[in-house]
Amino acid sequence: MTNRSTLWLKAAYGFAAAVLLGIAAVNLAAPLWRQPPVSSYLPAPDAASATERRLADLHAELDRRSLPGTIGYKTDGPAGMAPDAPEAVQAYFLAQYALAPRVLDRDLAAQRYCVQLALPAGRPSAIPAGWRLLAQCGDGVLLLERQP
Amino acid sequence: MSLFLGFGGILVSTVLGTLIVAAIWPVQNAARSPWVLRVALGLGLGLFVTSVLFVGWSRVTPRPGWPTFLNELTLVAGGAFALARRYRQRSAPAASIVRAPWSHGAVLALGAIAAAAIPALLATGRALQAEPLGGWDAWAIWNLHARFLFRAGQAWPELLNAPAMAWTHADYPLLLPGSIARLWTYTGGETVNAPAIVAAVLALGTLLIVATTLWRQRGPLVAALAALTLLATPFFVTFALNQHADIPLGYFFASTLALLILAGDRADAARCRCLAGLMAAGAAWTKNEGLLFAAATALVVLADATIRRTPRAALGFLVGLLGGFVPVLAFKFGQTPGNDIVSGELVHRLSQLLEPERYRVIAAAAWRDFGRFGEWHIVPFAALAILLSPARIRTAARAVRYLVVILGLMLAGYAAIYLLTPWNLQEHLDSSLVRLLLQLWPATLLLWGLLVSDRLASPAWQAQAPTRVSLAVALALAVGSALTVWSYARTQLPLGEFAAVRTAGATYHFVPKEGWHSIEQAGQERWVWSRQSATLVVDLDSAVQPRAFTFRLRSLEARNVTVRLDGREIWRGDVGTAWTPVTLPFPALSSGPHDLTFELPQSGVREGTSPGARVLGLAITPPRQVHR
Repeated sequence: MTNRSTLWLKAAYGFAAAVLLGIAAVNLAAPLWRQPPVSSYLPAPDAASATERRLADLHAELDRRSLPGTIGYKTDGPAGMAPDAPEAVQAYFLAQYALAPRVLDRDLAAQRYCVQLALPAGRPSAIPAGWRLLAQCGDGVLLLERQP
Repeated sequence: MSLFLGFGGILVSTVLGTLIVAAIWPVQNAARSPWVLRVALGLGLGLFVTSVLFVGWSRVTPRPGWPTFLNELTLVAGGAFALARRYRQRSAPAASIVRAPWSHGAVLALGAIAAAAIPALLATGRALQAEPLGGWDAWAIWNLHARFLFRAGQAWPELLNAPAMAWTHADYPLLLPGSIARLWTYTGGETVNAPAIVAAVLALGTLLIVATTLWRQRGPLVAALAALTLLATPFFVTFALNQHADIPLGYFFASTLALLILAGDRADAARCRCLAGLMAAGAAWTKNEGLLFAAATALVVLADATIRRTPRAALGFLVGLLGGFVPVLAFKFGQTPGNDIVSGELVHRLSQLLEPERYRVIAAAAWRDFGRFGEWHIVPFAALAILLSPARIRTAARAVRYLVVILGLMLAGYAAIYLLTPWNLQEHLDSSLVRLLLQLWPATLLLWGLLVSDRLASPAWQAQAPTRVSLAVALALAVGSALTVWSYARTQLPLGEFAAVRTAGATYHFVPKEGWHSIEQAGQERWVWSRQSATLVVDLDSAVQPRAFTFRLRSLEARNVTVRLDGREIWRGDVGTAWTPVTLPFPALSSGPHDLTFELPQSGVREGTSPGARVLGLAITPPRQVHR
């Protein structure tokens, strides 16, 4: 290979490496402009943290009453909300995360106790037929016991 | 304190892992493996070993913390003693140890990596702030399992295997849950830092594995380009602390393949391959895709040994793999329900392999996600491809060919899983394919680095000793990056804040508290509507003297508005339907939060007739300081 073509190759590789560095610089900046900082004056904005805060009183209530390892779980959502609607499923998973190691069972048939969450948060929660209120834990969160 | 103890737990696991790596690593080649590489391998291997110990003890005693810790200390002490003896007996004379010289290129490469790491760290921190408890898989699987391990004592397997918990995949391996629960036990509580620390350690380890392996094999420039490309993968950076298992799994993939590459064809490579086998088992202890990876890697190593009739070449790998697989098998066969994809009606689902439509859907999703999984602003594939060397591809070493075949088998395995999935195929692809590609991305960069042109691997400036100029340029790169990022970040308004006004004495943060709709923006214009009366929190980082701020206000109908600061009236007047500038005199205020309330005695006005129409009271724009 002549000196001239070697020089061209060197220049081409140098240019390509520089382009790669330029692309890297843009891609490094991208997450910063896509995701602004989170305000330190506001509570954590994510659904998991919000559920932890919302269910903290219920968690303490369950501990206080030493309720069994598996309890029922139901939501009180707007009319037409299916049990497997994405927001209902997310709320259930997050409630399970917040209340672990208690197992939340959506099949209430065998359960004496039940946790009920109003969906979305902020709505009032109505006591369903056949259950009585054991504790109201704020923001539409109820602890229920099956009526004898 | 919890952060300190959390790092203490990581330090113990890292020391233990590094000692195991050093103990297995061939003594003759110790100088050929930089200590950074050994520590990078130790980061993950330590978590593997300590999580196995913790999970094991958690089945024996309700308080597994102390026995685990004593086990770890014993192993660290024993490992250090054995290592010292081994090196004393067998180490080569000091004069024969060849150390890699620091070069001009090495210093510049380090400067570039440091410069890239600064914005990446900030982006990672912001992603963690936005989701401190991690993403969906974190709280639905990994951290949830960790909570059962930590909160339920010895009962955790029974509770986690309850039929009602089938959705959380109790069969998923325990590297992350075990490591997180172990750190919670050491810190004495469920600090949110523990899952983030574990995630950070393995993301850092991934970067170090890629960079140090290529540094060793191809020199600092190629290592820096690969490290920069990884750091400049927004999905890698923002997902690093999202507490999913995909980046940890990618760490074990990259580690295994890096060790196979470093083993190469050397006669003393059995120890290197043994470590590779251990790391492959670590992948299987991290996520179910790790089982596929371990099988694919074992298949390739065995096939190669069979073809070349060198069974000893495979022996080291198999020893490490089988040793590391003991806890995986104990977990899989001892205490988990079957996996939803491979158990149950798998035989019936085999007919799905014959459905051409499924192949089309998978190919379409792969085509869509190959170019976007990294969430790049500019996709780097073309620039990466230009730097490849056809000559190196043609003459690639056997270990490099291993890597290609293993990555190919992984892709084929992922496709087979999608073909057989019992779930809705499109939803399964949409929710997981980008993460599967991310798992393979560090190993792919490793492969890229091995195949780039020699011109990048050995330019003359890499052989020159570092000069003051190269040190100054490296420092300037890092400091320049820090200053640029800092000055840009200062201009960004945090999420949820309406305005921030910097004055000579303090910064006023205006944050919607109650009674407001969402903040709206069109171009540079920003405003927020209240429902009726509403309050902004004015938060101050230090005490301030009296100042005045001008807001612009409007309503849908003429309204009388009273503005109070901490209950004291500071303005009263009428606001019409056009934007009206209103200057509010703020008195001297202490640092901390203050309530700025906009009172409307009458109710708001519905913005339209549709069912979702909002009731609007008063709109305000961000304030401007009045300079007298």
